[in-house]
Amino acid sequence: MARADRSMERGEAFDDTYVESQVILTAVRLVAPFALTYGLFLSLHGADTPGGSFQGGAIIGVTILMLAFAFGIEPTREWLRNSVVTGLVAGGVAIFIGVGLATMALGGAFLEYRLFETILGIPDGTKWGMEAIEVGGIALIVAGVFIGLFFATAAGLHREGEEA
Amino acid sequence: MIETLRFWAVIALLVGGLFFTLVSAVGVLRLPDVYARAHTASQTDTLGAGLALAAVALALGWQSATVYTVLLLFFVFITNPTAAHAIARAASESGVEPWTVDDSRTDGGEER
Amino acid sequence: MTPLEGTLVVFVFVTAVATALFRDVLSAIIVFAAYSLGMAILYTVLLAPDVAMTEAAIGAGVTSILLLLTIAKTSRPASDDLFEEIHVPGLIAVSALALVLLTTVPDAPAVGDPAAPVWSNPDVTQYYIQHTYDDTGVQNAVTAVLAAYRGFDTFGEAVVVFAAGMATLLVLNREVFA
Repeated sequence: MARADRSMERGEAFDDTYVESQVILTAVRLVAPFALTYGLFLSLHGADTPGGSFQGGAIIGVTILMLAFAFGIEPTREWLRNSVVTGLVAGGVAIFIGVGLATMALGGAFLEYRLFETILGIPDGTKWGMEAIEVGGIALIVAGVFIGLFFATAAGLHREGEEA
Repeated sequence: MIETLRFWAVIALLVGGLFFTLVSAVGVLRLPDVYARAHTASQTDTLGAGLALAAVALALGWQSATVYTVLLLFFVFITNPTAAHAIARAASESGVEPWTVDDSRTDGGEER
Repeated sequence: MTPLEGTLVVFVFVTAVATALFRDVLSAIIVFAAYSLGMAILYTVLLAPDVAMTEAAIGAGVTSILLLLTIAKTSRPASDDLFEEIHVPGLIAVSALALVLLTTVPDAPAVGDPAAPVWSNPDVTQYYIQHTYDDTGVQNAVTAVLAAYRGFDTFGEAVVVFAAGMATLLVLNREVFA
């Protein structure tokens, strides 16, 4: 299955279809949940331990890349539609701007998290504001951009008059 | 008694790990083709690093770092054989013929 | 310098030079991945796990995958030469720059020196270390600096990453990632 992968797997010169390997599939199925959990852990726990949303987002993105290598790019592409990838990237930027504008709406400066605590009364407001831009902003952007770059590179150059 | 036993077990595991690392280093340089080399290169990671990590876990004893080491051991044992399989599979699919005894190609190995 | 650090520095140096010199693109990519891995371990030894994780995930992981994908989609020029020919004027320029930079090394403070200006500076490093937890409530000072004290910079970085993704689509003349 997944004929379109063969160009990515071993160059255009070899004419055969991509056949999933049982060994690789099993190993990826076993490792992927751990890798995804690790990425989420780094993003969510970056405020208190080494790590952070950039690293976490990168590892989440790499997990998807790993799945794409094992299952073939086309099935992954069908499973993870363009709207999801675009939504991750644009949504991340929107959340970041949204948090910044929210503090401005509360009468402060851009990203003045303290106001979440003093005006809205959220306990540890500064911390949660930072978590929001770390997890909701940067992690989503980085993961989305990596997945998007991978899919875009795998699809290649779109010439005029050619079907995408 | 049990401490002495643990000490020597750590030594034995480390020596085993070093042995497999050395063997596979020699193997990568000496073996004739990509399949044999993929086989021997995966020894470094799977057995060399695996036994060394087991020695580390044993030397650490009961503490949280041991759990990380055992987890690492688990992932090393899953991912490295998979990587070796992927290399051999890619070589097979791009048409590399396995080396046989009456093959004239030496492919980087010793001249015959 | 401990033997581990020395070995890593030599490894990183050799792989960096090999990346520049290899004629074959595929070999250069593989050696570059090894270089990134060496750098990641070196960062860990220098007690910078955050940077090490980034280097391992992005330098050794994503960059290699994207570069491999690129040569799979384009072409891998065949050549009989193992190494690139050395460009002498370039080598002289790079050596001169490296020499100038190396002359500053003896004056640099030792790693972990408490009197090093970057550490003892009361307005920056010491301020963050003393006030981060009270100001923000997070324990990782790096995260606090990135997300709170310099949140506007981080916002700029996030938008740059976003713009880079969009620019790739423009260059590839596509409208969707998929």
